[in-house]
Amino acid sequence: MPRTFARAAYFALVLLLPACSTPPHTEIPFDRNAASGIKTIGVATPSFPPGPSAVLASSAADYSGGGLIGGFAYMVAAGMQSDRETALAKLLKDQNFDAKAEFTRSLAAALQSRGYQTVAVTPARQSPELFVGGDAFKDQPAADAYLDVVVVRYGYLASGLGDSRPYRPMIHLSCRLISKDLKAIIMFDSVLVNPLDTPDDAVQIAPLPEYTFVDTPSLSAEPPRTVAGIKQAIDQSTDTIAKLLK
Amino acid sequence: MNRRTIGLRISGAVLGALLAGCVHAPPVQPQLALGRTNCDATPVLADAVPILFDSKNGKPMDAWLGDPGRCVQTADAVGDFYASFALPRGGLAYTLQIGALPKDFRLLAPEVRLLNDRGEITRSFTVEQFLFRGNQLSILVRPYPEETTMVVLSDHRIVGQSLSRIQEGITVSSYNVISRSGTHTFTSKYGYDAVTETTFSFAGDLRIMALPPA
Repeated sequence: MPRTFARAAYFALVLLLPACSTPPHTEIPFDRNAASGIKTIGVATPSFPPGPSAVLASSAADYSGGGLIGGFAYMVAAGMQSDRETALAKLLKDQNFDAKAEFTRSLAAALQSRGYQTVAVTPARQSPELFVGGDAFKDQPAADAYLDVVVVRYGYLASGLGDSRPYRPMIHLSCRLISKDLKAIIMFDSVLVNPLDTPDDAVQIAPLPEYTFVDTPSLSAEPPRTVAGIKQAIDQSTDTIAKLLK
Repeated sequence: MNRRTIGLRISGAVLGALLAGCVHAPPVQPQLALGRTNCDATPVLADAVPILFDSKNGKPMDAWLGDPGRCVQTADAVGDFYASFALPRGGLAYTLQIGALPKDFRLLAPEVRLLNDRGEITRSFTVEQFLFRGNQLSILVRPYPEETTMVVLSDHRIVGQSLSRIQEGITVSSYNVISRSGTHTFTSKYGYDAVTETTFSFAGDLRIMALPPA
C-alpha cells in the first residue's frame, strides 16, 4: 500500500514523466517578464482519469500485517473502494456532469481572467496519463505557448472514518507550459487540491469548508451538492494554474 | 534543617521539575506591531548573507526575520523587518525557493525583492504570488544573471490578516506482535482532518533554498 494516495499519485506521475520528451524533475517557475510575448495560450485537451476516486485513506486495510488476515483486509478494502467509486461515477453520470469538460471550461475561464486568450488544441497523447510530446503540437492551431495538464485523480477524499474526518472534494494534477517553438518547458508544477501529507515541492491548496460529507451515503443523498463540491475543487485547481502563469 | 525537611525540599524540587516538564509552552503568537523606531532608511546590503548552492542537492537555509534583526523605514512610516542575502554567482542556473514557515499561530508576512549590483530593485514578489508547498508559504523564482542580491521583508500591509486552512493527513505507526510462529509487524494508520489558523506577522521564520535546475 502506498503511504498516502496523494504522494502515490504525485510520485507515480513524476516517475512516468521520463517517458515524455525532456521531462523536468524540478518545478519550473514561469517568468512573466521573459515571456511577455505570450498573449494566446493553446490549451491541450487535458488528460483525465477514466472515473472519479472516492478515497478512504485509513481503513481496515491499514491495520494489516500481511499474511492471510492482512491480505483479506486489503481485498475487502479494495472492493469497498471500488464500490464507492462505481457509485460516485454513477451519481456524476446521472447528474450529467462531465468532469473533464468542466475542467476544460474552468481552465479557459481562469486563464482569460488573467488576461490570456485561449485556443483549444487537441494534440495526440502517446499515453493517457502522460504529457503530450512537444512534436504533437506542430499541426495544432498557432499559439504563443501550449499548456498541457495531466489530472491524476479527482473526486472525494476522507482521511478516516467518522464525523470529524469527512469526505472532502479533491483534485490532483501536474501541468506544464511549452514554448511556441516547442523546444522548452517554460513552466512545470504540480497542484494538489486537498492532498494528504503534501510533498514539499507540490503546490498544496486547502479544501474549502463548504462541501463535507460524513460518509458515502451522504454523498449519494445529495447529488447536486456532491457535484458542486467537485466543481469547486476544479475551480480551485484551474485558478491555481492561472496563478502560476501570472 | 532536619532530614525530613531536606527530603520534602528535594521532593518539591523533583515534583516542580516534573510539572515543568508537563506544562506546555503557550502557542507562539504573531507579532502585530514592529515595535522599533530606529530603522534603516534603505536596506543595508553590505552584510548580505550568502546563499549557498549545491548543484546536486538543494540545501535549506533557515533564517529569522524580527528582533534583533534589521528593520527598514517605509513610505507610510510603519516599517518592516528585513534581511539581505547574496545570491550565488558565476552564471549558475538555479531556482530559488523562498518560504515563510508557520509556527503555531505565527506566519511571516513575506515580501521578496531582487536587486542588481547597483542596489536597484529589478523584481519584487508579494504574498499574492506565494503558494503553500508542503508547510511553507513560498515562491519559486529564477534569478537573472544581473540579479545579485535578495532582500526579504515583512510586508506590513498584510500583517494581522488571518489564514485558515484545512489539512488532511495520515499518521502511521507500527508495532510487533510476538507469537510462537515468530514476530509479526503490524502497521496502523490514523487519518486526521484539522483546521490550522495562522496570522501574518512582522516577525517569523524563513526558509531559503537554491535548487538545481530541471
